[in-house]
Amino acid sequence: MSIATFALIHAIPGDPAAALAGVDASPEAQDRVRQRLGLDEPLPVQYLLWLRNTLKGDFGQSIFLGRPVLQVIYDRLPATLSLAVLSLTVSLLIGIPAGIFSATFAGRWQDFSLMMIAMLGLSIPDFALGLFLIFYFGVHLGLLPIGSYVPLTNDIGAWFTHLLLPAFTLGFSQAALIARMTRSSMLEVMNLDFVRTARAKGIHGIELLLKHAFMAAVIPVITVIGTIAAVLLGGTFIVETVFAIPGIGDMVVNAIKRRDYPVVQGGILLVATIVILVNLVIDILYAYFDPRIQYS
Amino acid sequence: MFNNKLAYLFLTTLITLVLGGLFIATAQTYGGTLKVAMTTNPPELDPHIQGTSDSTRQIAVHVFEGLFTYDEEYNVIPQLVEDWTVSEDELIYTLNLRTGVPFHNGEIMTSEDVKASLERYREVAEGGQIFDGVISIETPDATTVIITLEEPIGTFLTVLANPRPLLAILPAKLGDAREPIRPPELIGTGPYKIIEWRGDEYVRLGRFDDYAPNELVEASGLGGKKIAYIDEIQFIPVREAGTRVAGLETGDYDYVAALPITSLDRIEENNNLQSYILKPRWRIIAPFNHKSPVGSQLEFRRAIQIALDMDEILQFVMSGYDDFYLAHPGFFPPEQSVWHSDVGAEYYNQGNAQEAKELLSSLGYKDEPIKLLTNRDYDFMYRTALVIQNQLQEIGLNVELEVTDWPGQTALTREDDGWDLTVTGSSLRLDPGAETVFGCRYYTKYCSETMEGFILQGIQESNVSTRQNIYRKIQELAYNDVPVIMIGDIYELEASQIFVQGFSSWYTPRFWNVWIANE
Repeated sequence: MSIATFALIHAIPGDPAAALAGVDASPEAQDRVRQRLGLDEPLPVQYLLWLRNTLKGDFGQSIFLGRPVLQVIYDRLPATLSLAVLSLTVSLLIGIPAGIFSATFAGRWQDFSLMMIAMLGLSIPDFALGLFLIFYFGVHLGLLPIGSYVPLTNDIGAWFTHLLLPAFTLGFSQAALIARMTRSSMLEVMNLDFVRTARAKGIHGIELLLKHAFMAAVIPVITVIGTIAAVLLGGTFIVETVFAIPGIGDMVVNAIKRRDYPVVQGGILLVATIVILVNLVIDILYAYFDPRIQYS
Repeated sequence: MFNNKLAYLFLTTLITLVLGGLFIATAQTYGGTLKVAMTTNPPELDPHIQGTSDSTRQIAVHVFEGLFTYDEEYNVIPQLVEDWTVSEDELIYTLNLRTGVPFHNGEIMTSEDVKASLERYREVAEGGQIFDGVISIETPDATTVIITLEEPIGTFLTVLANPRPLLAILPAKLGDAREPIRPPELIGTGPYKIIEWRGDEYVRLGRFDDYAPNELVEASGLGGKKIAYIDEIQFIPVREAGTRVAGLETGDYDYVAALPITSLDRIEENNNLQSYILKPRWRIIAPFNHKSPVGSQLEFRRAIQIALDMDEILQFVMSGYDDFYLAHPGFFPPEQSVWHSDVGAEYYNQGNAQEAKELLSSLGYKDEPIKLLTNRDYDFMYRTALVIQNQLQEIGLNVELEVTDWPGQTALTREDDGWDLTVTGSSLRLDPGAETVFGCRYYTKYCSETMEGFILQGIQESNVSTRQNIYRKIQELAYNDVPVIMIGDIYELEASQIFVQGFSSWYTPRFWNVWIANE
C-alpha cells in the first residue's frame, strides 16, 4: 500500500520545487529548494527514510504547510468526518425510504419516476451538482452558506448549515445507489415465503414492510454502506475542493497538485485505514441484523 | 432681497449637506476585518526564503519592509532609509536609516539588523548571490550602514528594493537562521503583524499599533506613508475560481483575487461589488527548447514566430474581453514606459502563413511531430497552446500537444528531450535586471555570448538612458535569435465589496491606506 502510493506519486513528473519556488522562478531557485528539502536523494533512500519515520509514528513535515503531517491530518480530520457522516446520513435518509417506496409501487409511475431521479443522481458528477447548489441555494436564493467549515464545537448551527450543501452534493449520488439497492432487495424479499405467511396472518401495510420485509432486505444494503463509506471518502476529495472545506480530501488533492509527498502518503494511508475500519464495523453489524451470521 | 437671502441660505445649506455627506461616505475610518480570498496558500511566510512565490509576497508586503522599494511608476524610493550617498566610483553606498522604526516586538531597528538581514538574504534568497560582489557591510553607528562593492553594480539600489524575494529587514537575532523562519519569531517593521498562520486554511494579520510610517515619501506602489486602517486582514486560500466568485457575491469575502474573466458581467451588474483590472499581470511567452531538433534551428523558430497571430491567441485566451489583453512586441509592458519598446515589431503578430511555409519548405520538414508542452493548472497557458497548435497546423506543422500539470511541465522542460516548444507566463519584473528568460541558465538552454554580455551590462550600468539602450538591444536580439516568442500581455480581474475603499490594483494587492466604509 505505502509502496504503491510512494511509487505512484513519484511516477508523475515534477516535484514540489516547481510549485514552491513560484510560477516564474528560475531553475536556480528551484534547485535551491530541492536541495533544502532533500529531494536530491535517490528515491529508494527517500522511501526507506519515510518508512522508518512512519513506523516510529512520524509522518514527516509537510512541504507546503509548514507543519508536521500528523498535525495537519489531526486538524483536518473533524471536517472530513463531519462531512462523511452527514453525507451518509443524507444518503440513508433519502435512499432507504425512496427504495421502500419504489418497491411498494414497483412497475407503476411512482416507481418509474423515482428510479429516473436515482439514475440522474448516479450520473451527475459531484462537482457539477455542487456548483449548481452553490449558485442556486447560496448565491441566487441566499439561503445557505456556500462552503468553508465551522467546527462543531464552535457553533453547532453554523456547523450544520455550512455542511448541508456539501453533504447533500456528496450524499445524493449515494442515496440513488442505496435507493436502487433497497428497491431490488425489497422486491426479492417480498416474494419470499415468510412474507407471504405474514400476509396470510393478516399483517399488512407499514408493519409488513418495515418490521418483516425491510429487516430481511437490509443486509445487502448494509454491505453497500461499507462500499459507500469508501466512495464518500473518495468523494470528499472533490466536494471539499468545490466548497473550500479544509478537510483531508482537499489536503490530498492540493498535495498531489503540488507534489507534497509526505502529505499525500500520510493522507492516503489514513484514508485506507478508515476504509478498512469501516468494513470491519460493517462485518460486525451483519451479525446484529442477521443472527444466522456468527463469527467464531 | 429676502428671497435672494433665503435662496442663498438654502443653497449653502444644501452644499454643506452634500459635501458633508460625501465626506462621510469617503472619509477614512479605522476598524473592521477584511476577508481576502487568494488563489493559494503561502507555503512559508519567510520573505527571504519563500519570497519568489506570489502567495508569500502578497502577505509579506504587509508585514515587512526593505531599505528601498518601488513606487507605482516603477521608480526606486527609500523606505527604511532616510537618505543615502553613492561614492563617485559607485563602490561605496552610505545609507542613513530612518530613526525610531520599531519591529513588531517593540525593539527599534538598527544598522545591525540591516547587516544581519543582508547577510542572511545573500545566503538563502534566490538571487542573493548578487551580494557576493559586496566586500563589506559596516555599521559605524546605529543608523548608518556602509556597503562597499568590489565592482560597480549600477542597479544596486534595485537589488535592495527587490520585492521578489523581498529583501526584508528582520531582527539581527534571526540572521543565522538558514531554514524558513515562522511566526511568532517572524517579525518585521511593516504596518501589519502576523497574528496566526494555519497552513493552508488562513493567515491572519493584525494592525501594528506602533508602526512608524515613512512620513518623508507619499504613499505609492509598495512604499511611502502607509496607514493601517483595517484592524485585521484574513488571507484565505480559495482555490476554486467559481467558489471565489460565489463567495464574493454572498459577501463571504471582501476582496477576491484572480477571478475568471467570464464573471465580469455578473460583477459589474451587482451594485454591491466593484471590479478592478490588474494591469499588467501576465506576460505570455512561448520558449523553445534549443536542444531539440526543431528548437535548435533558427529558421524553424523564425517560421513559427512569423506564423503566429497574437490577436487571435489573446482574444481566445481572454474570451474576447478586449480590455483584458494587449498584443504588443515589447518584452517589457507599455506601463513600464522607461523599458518598453517596439523594437522587433516587424516580426511580431504577423500571422503570415505564406512566409512561414516558404521558410519551412527550405528546411525539408517531413511531418516530424513537434511537441508543444503545456499544463492545465494555468488555464491561460493551456488556451494559448491550443491556438498555437491550431495556427501551426495550418502551416503544415504536425504539432502534438503534451498536457501535464504545472509541476510536470517544469520538470519536463528541464530535460533536453521530449519537448520542442512550451507556453509559460511571467509576472512583472519591477526592474528589467531581474529578467531571466533570455539567459543561458533559463530552461530554453539558449546560450548566446552576445546576449549574456548585454544582460551583464544591463545589471552593471547605472545610467538610465544607457540601460534603456541595452534593453532595446536585448529585445532586438531576442527577435533575431528567437529564444522565446513574445505572445502578449493579459490582465487579471479582481473585485471587492463596494465598502472596501481606497483600494487600487497594482502588482500585488495592498491593503494599507484601504478602509472599510461604514454602511
